[in-house]
Amino acid sequence: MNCEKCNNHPATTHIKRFAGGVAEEFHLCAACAKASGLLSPDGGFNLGDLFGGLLGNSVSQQPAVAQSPRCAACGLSLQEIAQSGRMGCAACYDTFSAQIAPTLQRIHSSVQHSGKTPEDGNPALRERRERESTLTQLREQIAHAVREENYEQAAKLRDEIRALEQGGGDDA
Amino acid sequence: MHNQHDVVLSTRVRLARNLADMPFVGRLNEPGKRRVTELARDALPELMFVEMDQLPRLQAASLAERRLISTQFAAQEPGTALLTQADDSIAIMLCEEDHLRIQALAPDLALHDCHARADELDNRLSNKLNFAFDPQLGYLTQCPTNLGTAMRAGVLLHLPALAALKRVGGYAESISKLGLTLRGAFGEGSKGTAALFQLSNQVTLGISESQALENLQAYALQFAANERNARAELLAQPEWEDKLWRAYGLCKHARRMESQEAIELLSLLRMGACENALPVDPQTITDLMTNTLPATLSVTQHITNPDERDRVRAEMIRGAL
Ligand SMILES: [Zn+2]
Ligand SMILES: [Zn+2]
Repeated sequence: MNCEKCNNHPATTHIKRFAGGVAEEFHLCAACAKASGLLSPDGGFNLGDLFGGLLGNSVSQQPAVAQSPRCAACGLSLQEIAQSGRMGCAACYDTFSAQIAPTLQRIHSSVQHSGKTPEDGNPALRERRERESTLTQLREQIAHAVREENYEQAAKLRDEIRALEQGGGDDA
Repeated sequence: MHNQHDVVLSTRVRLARNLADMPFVGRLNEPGKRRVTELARDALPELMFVEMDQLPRLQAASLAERRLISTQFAAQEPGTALLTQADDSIAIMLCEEDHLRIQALAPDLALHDCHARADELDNRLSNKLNFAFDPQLGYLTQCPTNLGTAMRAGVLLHLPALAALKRVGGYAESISKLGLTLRGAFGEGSKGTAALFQLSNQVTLGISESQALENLQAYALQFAANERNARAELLAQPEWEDKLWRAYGLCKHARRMESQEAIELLSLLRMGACENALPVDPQTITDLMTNTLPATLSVTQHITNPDERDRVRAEMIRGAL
C-alpha cells in the first residue's frame, strides 16, 4: 500500500483516529507522517497538512476541478490550499465550498455547526441582524404588494420600514 | 469542579477567531499582522500588550514552558503579539495560526470557569471586531480542522502511577473514540516524561461548547479516579516506597541537577506528597516542576551562564524541601 498523501512511498505509519464515533485511518509514509504534524512535539493535534493531502487526492480525482478559479478575495487556488492544508481567507470557504465538502466530511463527523454564534452574548449585534432580516422581508413584501397593485398595503409597509430604519439609525 | 489537584495540574480553554475582512495569517504580510494585533489591543485595553519580537528570547521560552503560549509562538515571528495579564490567567496569542487565539487558564480542574472567561473576552471582542462566521461551518479558521466552535479545551494530567503500570496507552485508545485525545505533554519524542499528559477535545464541528466540556470533564474525573487507585496499588509495593524515598534523598542533597533528572524526580516526589507518603507539600513540588525548567529558571534567577543552571536548580530544590 502506498502513502495516501504523496502516493510515492510505501505507507509505513498507520494512524487511527476516531471522531464522533466514526473511525478514520490514515496510511502515510514516514516523511508525510512527520510533515502531517500528527507526530509533532507541540500540544496541538495538527491535521492541517493531512487535510491538504486528503484534499489534494480528492482534487486530482476530479479533473474538471483542476481549472477551478482562484478565491476573488485573496487569490489562492484550490491546488495551493491542498498543498498547505490551510485556507487563505474567510471567502475561500465560499469559493471552494463544493470542492472541500467531501474532505470536511471525512475530517469532521458532522458538517453542521452546533454551538456559539457571534450574536450570542452580543445583544447589539443580534438586534442589528434581526432588524436587517425584518427589513429584507418587508422590502420583499412591498415588491409583492406593488406587483399585485395593492398600493394601500405597499404604503403601509413603507411606513413600517421607515419607522424601523429611524429606530435603528444610531449605530448605522 | 475543583480539588482534583492531586491529578489535574491545570486547565486551559482556547477559542480561535479570525477577522472576516482580512486574509488569514498565512496570507498576511508583517504590516497586516501588526494591524490585526493593534485592533485586538485596542479592543481589550486593560490587558498587557507584548510584541513577541521585542521580548528577550528566554522570556519567550519561559512563556512556552509555563504553557501560556505554543512552542511555535515562542519562535517570536515579527508581527505576532501577546495580550496577557500579570496573574497568567489570560493569554491571547495574536497572529499565531489564527488572528486571535483567546486562552483562559487556571490551576486544577476548572473547565467551566476557564470557558466562561474565554467566552466573556470573545463577547467583548466581537462587540468591536467582525469575526468570520458561517451558520453551517461555525467560526472560520485558517485550518479546516478547527472549524465549528473553534474551541480547544485541555487539562494537564499527572499520571505517574498509570504510566508506571503501563495503562496510559490503553486509555488513550479508548477515549479517542469519544472525540478526545491524550498526548504526552512534552511531545511524542519524550512521551511520558514526568508522566504529564494533555487531555483535550478533538472534535469541534457538530458538537457544542457545553457538550464538549461536559465530555472532557467526565473523562478528566475518570482519569483522576483511576490514577488514585493505581497510586494506592503502586505504593503498597515496598520497592516503590523505597523508590520515592530515594528520589527524596537525591532532591534533598544533590549539588547539581539537570532539567531532565529534576523533572523525573519531582514527578515521583509529587506523587509521594499527594499520597502522604513523603513529608513534603504537594503545591511546593508542583511549583518546582515549572520553576526549575531551563528558561523559567534562567529568567527568575537571572542566570546568564548556562553552566550555573544545574547548580542553581539543585540549590532551589534543596531550599524548597
Ligand atoms: Zn508520503
Ligand atoms: Zn481566499
